Amino acid sequence: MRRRAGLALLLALALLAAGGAGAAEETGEIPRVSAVAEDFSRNCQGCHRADGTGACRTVPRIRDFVGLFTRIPEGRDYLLRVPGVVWAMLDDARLARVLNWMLVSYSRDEIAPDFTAFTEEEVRAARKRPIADVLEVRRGLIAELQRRALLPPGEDGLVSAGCD
Amino acid sequence: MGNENIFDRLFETASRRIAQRSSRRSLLARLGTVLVGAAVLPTLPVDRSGRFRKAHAQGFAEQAQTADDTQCNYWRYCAMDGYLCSCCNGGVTSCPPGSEPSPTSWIGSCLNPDDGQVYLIAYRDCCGKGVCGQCPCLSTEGEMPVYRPQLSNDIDWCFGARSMVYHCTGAGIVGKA
Amino acid sequence: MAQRRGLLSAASGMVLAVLVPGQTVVAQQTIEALPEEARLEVVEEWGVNVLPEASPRWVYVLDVAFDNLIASRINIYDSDTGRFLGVVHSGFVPNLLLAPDKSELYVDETYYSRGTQGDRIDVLSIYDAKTLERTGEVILPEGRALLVSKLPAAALSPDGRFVLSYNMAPATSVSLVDIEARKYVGEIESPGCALVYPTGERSFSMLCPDGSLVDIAYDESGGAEVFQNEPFFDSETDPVFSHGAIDIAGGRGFFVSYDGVLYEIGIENGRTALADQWSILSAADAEEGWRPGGWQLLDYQPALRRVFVLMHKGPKWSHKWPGEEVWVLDPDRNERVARFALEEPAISLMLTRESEPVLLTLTDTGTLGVLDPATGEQKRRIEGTGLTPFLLHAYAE
Repeated sequence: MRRRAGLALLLALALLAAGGAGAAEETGEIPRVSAVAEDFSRNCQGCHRADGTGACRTVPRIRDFVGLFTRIPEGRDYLLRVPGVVWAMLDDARLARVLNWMLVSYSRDEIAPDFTAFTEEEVRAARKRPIADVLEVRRGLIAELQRRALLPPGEDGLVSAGCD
Repeated sequence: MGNENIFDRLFETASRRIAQRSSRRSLLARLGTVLVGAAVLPTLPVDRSGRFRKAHAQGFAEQAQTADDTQCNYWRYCAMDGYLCSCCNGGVTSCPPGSEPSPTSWIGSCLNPDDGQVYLIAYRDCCGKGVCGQCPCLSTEGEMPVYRPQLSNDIDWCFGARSMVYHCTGAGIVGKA
Repeated sequence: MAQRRGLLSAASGMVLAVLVPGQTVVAQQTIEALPEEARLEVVEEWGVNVLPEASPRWVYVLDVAFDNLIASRINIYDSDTGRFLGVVHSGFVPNLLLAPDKSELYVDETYYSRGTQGDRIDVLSIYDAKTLERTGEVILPEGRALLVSKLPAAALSPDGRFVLSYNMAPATSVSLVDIEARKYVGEIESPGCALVYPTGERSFSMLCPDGSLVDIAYDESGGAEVFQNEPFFDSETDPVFSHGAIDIAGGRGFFVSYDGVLYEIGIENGRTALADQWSILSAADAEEGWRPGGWQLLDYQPALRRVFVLMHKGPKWSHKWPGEEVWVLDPDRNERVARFALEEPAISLMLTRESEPVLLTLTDTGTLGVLDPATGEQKRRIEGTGLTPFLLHAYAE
């Protein structure tokens, strides 16, 4: 069930992200990072890292994780209003595209089956209201994900296996 | 491909940036260079001996070289602020003995004068030792105050390292922009 | 040696054996025969000097020691005489705060337990302003932003009761410390905005990435209310320097942009709003390439009602170049009233906080200039105030 809905969504998102990372013009040693991948690289990668693993206790990982936020009602709002997203140096359409691409590229298995892609209009509205207490809000969301058994206790995307 | 190609590429890229409302340190600065280059004053013959007086403000790409990564004008260092790991027995993408690469980095983009391509560069601090002290470089082209953290030079970017004491900085390629 | 001391202290009247390596006993004499002059009197007692109450003319020069960042220091000088008054050693990229009642100074700083490694310790260290003794500390459990030291990275509430310490981990917040209770209160979260500009007894503002100020009101338990504002400058094309100046009593604040636009912020009940803006560059100035630049490059002196800015000639993005001149601006009439050429280019300046202030300038090689703010005449030059000092502080009158 979930998998089928997920696949339909993936197709839709892939269309949205078209012209993105896959649009390599050259096949040299060094890949071309263009369009949506470049936007992610310039705005997100520095902290969340190219492989999406973040940094222990400091930067939340997005790999195999960030999609979980789409599974609870407040999570969608959180992803749109977290300060790092709000203040990205991208226009609304490109920011929506980066968010969708990020979910598919880093956390496709965690995306809610009924998730619909972020839209430019939605991003525009959300950017006017950045979350003022992001740590507090995030703690609440993590607790909710744990309550719903979507996350094991002790796992919060900041302190994960592999943290020393 | 020749110079004309380089500047075509530059101008094209920079224009694209502006159209997309995405100011970026080297690109924006280069746009400035290309558009108003003729109007820019020659650098004044002031003594620039102190740290700030050495700040490279503009026109990095025009003076960049690809041969010597122990010089401030090595092409990848267009958004550099700090001490070159290459001068500290590290390298462009390796940390000197006993220091630790920060898991986090900040992203800039620099023109490679050899192939005329703009590359995304991840600047990464090596951490856990005191300041290396060799080859201080400061390029302020496109540099922003700390409320634009991704474009600011004044932040210790050792986030996530075991010790956030700053040692030196390297510059790895993310990809061609 | 131990044996000999034992003999000596044993008692008089015994026979003293003087031992020399390689020989057994070379001389024997009774203890009474020793000369009494061997007793030492205490001729000079050692004391510890104490400073008098701080003068508004004392300048606290914060030396980040860029080549050895973990060992910064604060050197104190009397700008009236050039005399060195004392030092407070500090940790990694510190910020200095001076208590309004002149009793204490606070250093917001970071250490590692093994110098460059080990356990991280973020701490607000408390020093007595007269003895310069470390009298207490408050640990900052959530850390602090590790920025190359700048004034708005930490602030005191106007009454001196609370310290606000900017934190970036890299999520941004402000650590609140109760100075009276010597206690960390908590984090005040921010919507991704930076630095701390106090605007009232229990309010401050922060600069946001979009060019707006966010106004935050807080209470003694760390509760906070956050008010967003519209952007007042374009943070993509012409950002303002983070070293602005806030005059809480006068209800006004000033920021200057890379391209020389001076923004005046009106402050009322902890809320901010753009009050005025004008370019400090005439067409001719712009043609000549004049720009603001440096580190602590702007100050506003309420008694003089003047803004002072370091200016240099240079291209776009030369915003950290030292100032060749100081421009004096009248923000009531939006005009420049004076310009002084400096003997040496300076990265930082401040006006002392008194009715007849002096202008202090600092070069990036550590030379402090003491100038008449009316004429620009350099009255004193104090060399060697640090390895790479960046910031100037002084107590208010």
